[in-house]
Amino acid sequence: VSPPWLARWLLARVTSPDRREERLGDFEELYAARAASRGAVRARLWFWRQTLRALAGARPARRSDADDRRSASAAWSIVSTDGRAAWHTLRREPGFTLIAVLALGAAIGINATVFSWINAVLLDPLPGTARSRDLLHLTLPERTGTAATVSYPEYTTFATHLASLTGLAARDDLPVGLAIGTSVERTWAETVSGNFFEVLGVRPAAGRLLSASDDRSGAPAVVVISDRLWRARFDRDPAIAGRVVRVNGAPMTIVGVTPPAFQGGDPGLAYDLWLPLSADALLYPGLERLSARGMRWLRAVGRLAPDASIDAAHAEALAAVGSLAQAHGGYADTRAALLPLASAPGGSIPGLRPVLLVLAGMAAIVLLVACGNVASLMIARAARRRRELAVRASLGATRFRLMRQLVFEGALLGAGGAAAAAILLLWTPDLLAAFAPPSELPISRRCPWTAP
Amino acid sequence: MAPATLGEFEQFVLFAVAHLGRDAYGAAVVEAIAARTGRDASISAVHTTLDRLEQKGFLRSRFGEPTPQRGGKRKRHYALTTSGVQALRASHRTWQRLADGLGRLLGEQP
Repeated sequence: VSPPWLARWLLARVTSPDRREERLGDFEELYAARAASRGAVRARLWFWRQTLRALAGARPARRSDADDRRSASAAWSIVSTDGRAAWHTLRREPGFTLIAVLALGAAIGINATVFSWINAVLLDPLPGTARSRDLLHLTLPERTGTAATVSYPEYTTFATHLASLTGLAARDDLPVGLAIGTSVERTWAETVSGNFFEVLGVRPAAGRLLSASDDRSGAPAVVVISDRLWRARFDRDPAIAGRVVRVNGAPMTIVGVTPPAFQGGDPGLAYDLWLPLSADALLYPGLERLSARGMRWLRAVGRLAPDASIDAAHAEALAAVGSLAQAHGGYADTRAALLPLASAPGGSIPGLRPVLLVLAGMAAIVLLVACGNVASLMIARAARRRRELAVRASLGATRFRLMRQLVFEGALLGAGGAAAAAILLLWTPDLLAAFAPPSELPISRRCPWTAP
Repeated sequence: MAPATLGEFEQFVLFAVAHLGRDAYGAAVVEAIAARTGRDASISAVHTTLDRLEQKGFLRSRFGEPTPQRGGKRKRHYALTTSGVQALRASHRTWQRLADGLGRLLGEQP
């Protein structure tokens, strides 16, 4: 565990270069000892406290030759003098400072949390894949509505026709009972076509991922597990490939692990297992879904080839519909469209988008209210400080100098709010669970700072 | 007459350095002070004080070897100088003289 980088940077900034190595070393050694004995969170808080004390106690640059050569040192001395003055002013009114910092911290923390979720779901819909925004979802608009899914025979037809894609993969998900040794847990799995990981551009963290040879009837039953499962249940065992687990009672051999960032093929959801489509017969014995033409259960995802156009891909998809109509009849009102993942119907995004937008609106209002409150507190305080400012002015402080001091106080409050928010963010991602729509689905709450 | 008097915290640091012997450096001093006085001294206060004591000529310092625990950063080891030892003795004597004759009040065994 390394100490907070921002605090470390600040420390390095106020330590004279000829003493930096041993001093930062002392900080880091005590931090490591604390992290080991009292846990990472308390060690972090301690490190920040130590950093603030070091900042508050920093002498106004006893100038060494090295410092004089630095052009930034004049600016730094302004920052350290005015910063220290602002710090002392704020410390004289701890009640005001505490309330302002907490209000700003809560509002900033809420906004950062909500935005991290929006980022994870809407802006980077499939983390861990190569260029997820280039992925296209195959839909079949019909007169009666748009089908977001296709049957397996339809999928194979589209896959052969869509030459403008680097590949068309198919996926479905289902809850399964996973037995590791004697313990059983309920988790979510994706059944995927053999080219799924190749189309998405995912590389294994250990072992190998699924390939076309696994997705063949009669192929040995294999499974790929998530990084989360690997860490939680197998202690990151590097020799994981070859272990046998039971999925819905059927023994399957683990062949590999997905990278930590990868969560699956459905934006906003996080899966733990990936099985080839050929395992469908094991999971739903007797259903024969792979040959059923009328059962539309697969979502098809493809990636446009580098030199291909979306129009060409659309034409190929329509040709596929035509060939289906010719071979089997029907499909009279069916069109075919390739949509970016974020605007495709079905899946988790349509369900999550309104929740996220409402949350974002709420968070923005909270921030506005907090800023309004802090502003009115500061106005009230400014009225009380007229005498102090008048004294300063009569002692020779220019208007600019006074303004600079007030700006520094505001900046320090803002920085304090951001720091409070950073501390808050240790817990808020877990609170997001309360806002997730009621659902059985494995909703992902991936946040940049909690992702391994 | 002592050439310079020591502040309370300066005495703490000087005593800690004396206790630690060859292994006296910033982090160890912080921990020694916490162990012996129960005071949670801030590292930067210790650093500043070590600097000041070195300037006054009570301590001298040299770089140690890099160690893996500190991310490869070297330690600065401190040691008492002759005048540091004298200052330590002087302040110890001062405390002793101040306490002389107060054995009962201070709860010392006779």
